[in-house]
Amino acid sequence: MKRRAFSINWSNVLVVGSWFILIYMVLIILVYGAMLLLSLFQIRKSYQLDDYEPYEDLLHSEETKPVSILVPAYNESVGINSSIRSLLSIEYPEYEIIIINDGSKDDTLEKLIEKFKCQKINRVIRKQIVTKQVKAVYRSTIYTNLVVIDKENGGKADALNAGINCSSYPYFCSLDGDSIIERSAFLKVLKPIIESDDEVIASGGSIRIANGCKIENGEIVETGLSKKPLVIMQVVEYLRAFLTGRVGLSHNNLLLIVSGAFGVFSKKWVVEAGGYAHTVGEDMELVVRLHRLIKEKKVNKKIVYVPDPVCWTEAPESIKFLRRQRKRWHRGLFDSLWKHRKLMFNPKYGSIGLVSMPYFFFIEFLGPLIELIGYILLGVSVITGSIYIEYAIIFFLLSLIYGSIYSMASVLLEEWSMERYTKVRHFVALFFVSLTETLWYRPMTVLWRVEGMVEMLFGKKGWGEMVRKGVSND
Amino acid sequence: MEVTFLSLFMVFVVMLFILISIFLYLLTKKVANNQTRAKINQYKEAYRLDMFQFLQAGKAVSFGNFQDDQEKFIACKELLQEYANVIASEDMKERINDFAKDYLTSYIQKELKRRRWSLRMNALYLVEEFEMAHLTNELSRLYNKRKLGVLEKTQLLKLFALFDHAEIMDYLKNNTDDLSEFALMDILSVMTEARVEQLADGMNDLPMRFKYIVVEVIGKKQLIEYHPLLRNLIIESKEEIELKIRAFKAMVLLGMKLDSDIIEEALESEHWQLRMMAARLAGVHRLEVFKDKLISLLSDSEYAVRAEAAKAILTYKGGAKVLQRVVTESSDPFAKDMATEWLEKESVFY
Repeated sequence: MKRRAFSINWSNVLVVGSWFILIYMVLIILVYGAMLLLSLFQIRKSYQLDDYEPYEDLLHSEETKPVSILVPAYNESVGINSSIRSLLSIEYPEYEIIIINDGSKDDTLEKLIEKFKCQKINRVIRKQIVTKQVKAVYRSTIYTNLVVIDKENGGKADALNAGINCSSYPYFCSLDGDSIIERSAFLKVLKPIIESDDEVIASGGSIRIANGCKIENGEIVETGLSKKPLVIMQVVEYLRAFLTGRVGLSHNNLLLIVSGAFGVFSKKWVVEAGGYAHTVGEDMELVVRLHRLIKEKKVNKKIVYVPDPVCWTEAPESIKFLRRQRKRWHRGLFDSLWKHRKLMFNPKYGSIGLVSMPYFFFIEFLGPLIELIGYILLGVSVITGSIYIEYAIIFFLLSLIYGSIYSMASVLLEEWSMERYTKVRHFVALFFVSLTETLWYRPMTVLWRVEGMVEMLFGKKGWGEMVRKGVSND
Repeated sequence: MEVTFLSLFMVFVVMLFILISIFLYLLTKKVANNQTRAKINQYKEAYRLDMFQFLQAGKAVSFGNFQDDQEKFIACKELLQEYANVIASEDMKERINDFAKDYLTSYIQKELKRRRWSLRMNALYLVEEFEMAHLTNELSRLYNKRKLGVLEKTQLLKLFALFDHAEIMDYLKNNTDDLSEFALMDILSVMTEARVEQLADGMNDLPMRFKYIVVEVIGKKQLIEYHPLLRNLIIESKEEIELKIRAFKAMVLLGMKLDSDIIEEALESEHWQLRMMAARLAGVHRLEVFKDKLISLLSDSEYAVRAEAAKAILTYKGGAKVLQRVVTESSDPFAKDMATEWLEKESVFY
């Protein structure tokens, strides 16, 4: 009988574990539900707002702040020219484009120099942030506001910092080399900054998926939807993340991510915060650091998200690259959270410390792990007998709710408040694919995110490489 | 356990049902909207030439019955808006405004009462675009009735300023604490000169925020008769640096000269904005007496100051030679860089 005392009662473990998981899931459902509701009325307010009038004055105003657009490029030879071409015709009074060639191994630099007829110039760079060495600076002879920096490879963060050092204007925008920005997006994303007398120090727009859109000369001519379920599912995911996640958070100054693909920052503040850090999720990490700086300085500055201006980007179309991307994102999330763990539950940092950080840690970061354990327990309980069949069904229903149901709701929210997909068949496709999320897509991404966690524990770093298709149809 | 399971199942079913209903509703709306939009676009293309000829020469339009049909009406409204955004001719602008007054007034009156913010804003933009001063009463009603957000309030005040509403000064003095300086600037820049002068004359009683803005507007609207006011502000503002900077900026815009000792003090100020403004002033008035000071400002820590200094030097006789000498003889890389940049720009023009 001595033996009994040492053996673990597995049956109890299963029961406790199951309840824990179910309660956690109910918690997630309530949190996501709250965010969805918060966003609901915020975005609908702007539905059908004229696309031109609110920005007409800004276009001609002297108060409109000049912006440096930083485009870090690494092996972007395929798509770089069309993206830059689209940048040259944006609707904005004064701006410069700084392309940072981060030691590309292909002919990215040569293509740029040739295409834009660049000449070497003697621009002196003020090293406000330490970066890898800049080898040369070129200026285009046909577009005088286009500059190309050639530097030693140092990673995206390093490239951006070099761009910041070289920039002349008080605001900068970081843009991925393969993204397409809508012409009016800059006015829209900068509007809160301009109109708030610099109270807003950073502003982010939405990312949408370009796959399936008709693109000409680096511009989205017609919105479209890919036919591949994997891509459609990603579109739904982005809608969910941006529309429900960010709108609600931004309204209350809880925003922790200004997406790396499209955001405008005050140079002064970013330099003071130390520039971008070399980490996998450098965009989020910078925003957390800015929030930290704001709180430590006890000033009333804000970071906002504007749902309307859109940056279109290429999404991975194969499982292989999607998996890589998701693992990397999850590692990046942890990196940022860990680096700023001091803020967690720290009242000194206000709602960022008490609400945002815990949300990102317990729900966004740990969520997949707990879900995975849930799936495992599900499998175990099915095997051990019908007593736990109810657990299995409850688990399944709950995951249907915060998976498929919420994604379907996001699709409907987008239709009701923004209506970017004008074709009926696209709307229908989005809705029905989102219905299936819980059955295949979600378990997959959960598994990959946990993989990312595991890899992190074993110290893997880096970005991996994605084979670029380029965002131009020409 | 059974209860939990059943109630959860019910929750799920209810949610699914609600979503599918909303989906079907949105779907039918979308199909209908797409058809309407296609029709509107068709009408727009059919009316485009007619509309243009009417605006250009007053030729009578052929689509006379458009008021009865929703889609035809929207087509006309949108065409009018499109033309209003691109047309510059006074005659055509007048015809546009008259057309809007005759046909769009009741539509806009209705839109101003809508619950959704974006629709009211669109209506307010139309009022601005078509200069519909006759709707002032409706605007007042809107202003007083609702709890207004910043953007809506700003747009309304801007319209009151544009149409020189009697209450505009009162509205500005009360209840504008939540408006940013940018918004106030927007409003004041469309005010009549008489009103701005009213504000300028009462400058001393204004709150600081308003002082900044009035000073800026004096500069923008070129109210030259107020340059003594600006000069006094520059001399007297010891601690209010921001006010001094703005007054300086306005002086530059007015194109008026300032006393040499004031400029000299500013060139050596610890505030870079003053150094920048002073350098600009030195350039605008070609005050060669400051040449040496400007050369040393080519090494200033602020990019904007260095740029103004270079620009100013170029306005002097032999300025290009001076910059050339900086390029060859200076030991400061920033000074050389700035001099080179401006020499390059100079050669582009010739």
